[in-house]
Amino acid sequence: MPRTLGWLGATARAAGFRGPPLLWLASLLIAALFAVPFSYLVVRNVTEGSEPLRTFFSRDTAEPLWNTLRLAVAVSAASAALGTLLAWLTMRTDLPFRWFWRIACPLPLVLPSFVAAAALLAALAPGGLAEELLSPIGLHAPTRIDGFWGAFFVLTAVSYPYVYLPAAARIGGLPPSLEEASRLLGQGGLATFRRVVWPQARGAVQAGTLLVFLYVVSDFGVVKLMGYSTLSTNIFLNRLFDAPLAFALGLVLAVVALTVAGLERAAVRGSLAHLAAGGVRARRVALGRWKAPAIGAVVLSVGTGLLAPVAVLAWWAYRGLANEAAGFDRAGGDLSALSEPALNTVLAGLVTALVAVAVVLPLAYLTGRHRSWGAGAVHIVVAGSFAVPGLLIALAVVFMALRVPGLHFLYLSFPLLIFAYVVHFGVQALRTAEVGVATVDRRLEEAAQTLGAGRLRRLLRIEVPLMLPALAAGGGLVMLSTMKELPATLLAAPIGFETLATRIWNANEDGFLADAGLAGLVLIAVSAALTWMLVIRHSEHLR
Amino acid sequence: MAMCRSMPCLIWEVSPNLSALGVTWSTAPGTGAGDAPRGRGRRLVVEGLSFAYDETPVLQDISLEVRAGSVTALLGPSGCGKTTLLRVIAGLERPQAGAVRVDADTLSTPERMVSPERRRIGMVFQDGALFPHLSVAENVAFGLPRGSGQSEAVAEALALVGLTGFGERSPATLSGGQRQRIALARALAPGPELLLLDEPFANLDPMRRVELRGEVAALLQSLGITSVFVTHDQEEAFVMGDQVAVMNEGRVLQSASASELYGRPSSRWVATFVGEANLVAGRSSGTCAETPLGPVPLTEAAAGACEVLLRPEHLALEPGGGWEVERLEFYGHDSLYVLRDDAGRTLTARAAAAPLHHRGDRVSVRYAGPPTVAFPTP
Repeated sequence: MPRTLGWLGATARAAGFRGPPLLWLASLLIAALFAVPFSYLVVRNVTEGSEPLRTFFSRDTAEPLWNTLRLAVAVSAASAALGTLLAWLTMRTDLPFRWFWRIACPLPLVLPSFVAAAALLAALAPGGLAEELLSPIGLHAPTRIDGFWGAFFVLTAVSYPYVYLPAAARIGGLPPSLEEASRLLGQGGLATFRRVVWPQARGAVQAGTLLVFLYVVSDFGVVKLMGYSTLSTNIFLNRLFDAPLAFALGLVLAVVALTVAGLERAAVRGSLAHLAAGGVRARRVALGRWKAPAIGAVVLSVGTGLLAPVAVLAWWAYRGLANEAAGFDRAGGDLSALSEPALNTVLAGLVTALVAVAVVLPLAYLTGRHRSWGAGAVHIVVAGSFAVPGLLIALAVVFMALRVPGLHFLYLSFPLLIFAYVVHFGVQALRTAEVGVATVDRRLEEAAQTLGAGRLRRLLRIEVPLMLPALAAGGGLVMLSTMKELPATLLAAPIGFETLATRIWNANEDGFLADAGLAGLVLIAVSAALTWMLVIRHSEHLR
Repeated sequence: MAMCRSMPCLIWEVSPNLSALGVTWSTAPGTGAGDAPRGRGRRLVVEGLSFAYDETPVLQDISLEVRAGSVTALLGPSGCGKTTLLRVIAGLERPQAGAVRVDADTLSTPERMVSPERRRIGMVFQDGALFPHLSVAENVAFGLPRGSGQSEAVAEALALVGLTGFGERSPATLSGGQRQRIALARALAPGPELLLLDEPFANLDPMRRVELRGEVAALLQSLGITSVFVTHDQEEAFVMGDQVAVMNEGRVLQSASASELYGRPSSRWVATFVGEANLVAGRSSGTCAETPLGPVPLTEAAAGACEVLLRPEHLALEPGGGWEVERLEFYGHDSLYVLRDDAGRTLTARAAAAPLHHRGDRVSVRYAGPPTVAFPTP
């Protein structure tokens, strides 16, 4: 046995792994789980007789591929700029009501993107909320937006928090003395941002931007509603009539995702300047005449990402309830019928968050402590899974349960659903877990070791408590994503297992706007409450 | 290595030609020409300054004057507000009352603040605050205008602190002492009119601290730059400061030269904070106080019951008498005796020699120092 382990260790080291053998064994196992969607795509391409290479170079693929890339790049760039700007404004300037904006800025994350898109479209449609609000004061509702700009607008509004959260944590954690030193050396506020803050925050912004990119690539709901043709809508369209094409497109998408994750991984290496968190309060940059535009930017961001969709949902719910009271046909809108989907949503979110954090922790140790070629590859696979549309993830895990001998009992079970979620969203916990691992001073562990604490006790008594804020932040992201996830839930959930997201979708499909509105409001309220209790309350950057 | 080479030549490396820095410091130390500006420095005046963090007063009615080209130490226990005072002078905090002036220029009032980047004030932070993403040379060049002459100026500033050849290094690879030298070089490079140092040696081990503070004191003196530095270490304040301002609970209690402060402290608190002190009950009439140790000369006439300050090194011990040696501490260059009499009163005495008396010996004590101060009994 020891000899086998030794041999394995030598092989793994040759393959570019470093660190304790048990750690990378666990990591390889986890990587294999995260590779399920990719393996599935390869298997189906073979069994269906797809021609991925020909698909990749065919004219029919060019448009959706180009559309996917330009949307993802545009949304990533806009989210990076907006998220960084908001982070700097709320953490380092004299923006009024900073504490409120610090809580409000991440909140658009709780909104399922398809809900935001549906609400926007409905509000701007003839007879929608915008017309009802604007026509009495003699204004015309803006023309309908859809296609690229509609998708760009909605996706940026709901995904900038992926950048805002890490950027705000990073900027808030910078020792103020760096910026003060820069000011005393003659640099103004903007120059200080460019020369001191930005180089320090770049890594965090980049990590968040990768998430945005992958999220946009995987998104189905917004582009479908906006009538914008991307890889994911084409996969969905072709999945029944031309399965080989759908799987070939899936493979194309996976290649895009893995390539981008790999590029980002390579870029992040150069920007790892580590710093201890600062103590004293930071000096606020006086905004002066920029104060009004700054307030405008913050209000507009939170407004379009959160307040406007919530207003539309509330409007739907209100109209439905009013009609019901007036004796019209019951159009849904029954709050008590939402309690079971709400409970299911919370359960799925919490369990997925816990499992995801536990699963990525070994990977975080491997990539954080023992940088190596192999660890980097594992990381890329985990990140890439985020870009695979939930639809394909669900198909992959269902396929695995049906075809792999001995796994049949998992078919359409709760654990299978959780597995699908964890594979899809694991990377969101991985990044923050890596930060958590990096913040634990190894001397503390050594101190615990000299006091006779074993590996497990050190992990539970020293490392996990110290990493808790980071782990909670990552788990919180996973939880939010899970609670609003739609396609994977539709396909992989046990029969009769309804969540708020599936409820909104079904009600919206059936035209029960009141029901959709109520379910949406409940989802946002529950997400916001859980995020508050589990993440924001413990997060340093809000103090 | 450059480190070892740097110590003796530090002062002499101040080349007479600092034009590359855009600065015209005089290299000769001032010759006590009163308030006349010496070299680059300008006069700093703090008037009636008050500052509070969210209603909690931190500084209360602080007034302070720092002569052009001189070094002032702000000495006080932690939490006394000395770092905050430095930050207000730097323009990092806005005072609620009072003013900060440099020569005729008003830099801070509650209504008007010159922003920190336009003050020409250099600051060395406690942790160095080196930019971790920039090399040593890039750090030093940070405050310099871009263009020709920049690299010469950086080289000159590095030579000034004895770290020639360190330019390409990353701050993470430096020792604590080296980091502070680079922070000093960075602050000096743009040719500031005033230099602030916030406990610059606090994070160093004792040996390096003594070494570095000597070098920095010499450097500041030779540059003739007006400096204010914060410390909680009395020895450091005395060694480096032309003037020492003692602070406690947000107020400056006394600011004077080190010898004045030590010999004629203005209050009991200052007396005990700046050195070991025996406060002995006595009764004064005129410039003499009657104490259990006999008559003690006073600097100023007083009357009535008082407590007389007797520094341990001014007490002379003779064999045989009313005091018993309770404890003895031998430091090599001197010895400290802790004495107790039959009434239970204690005294500490210091003698510049190997121990002549031992534990349990009986001794008599006599005051053998210069005129001292007495505080009225509360």
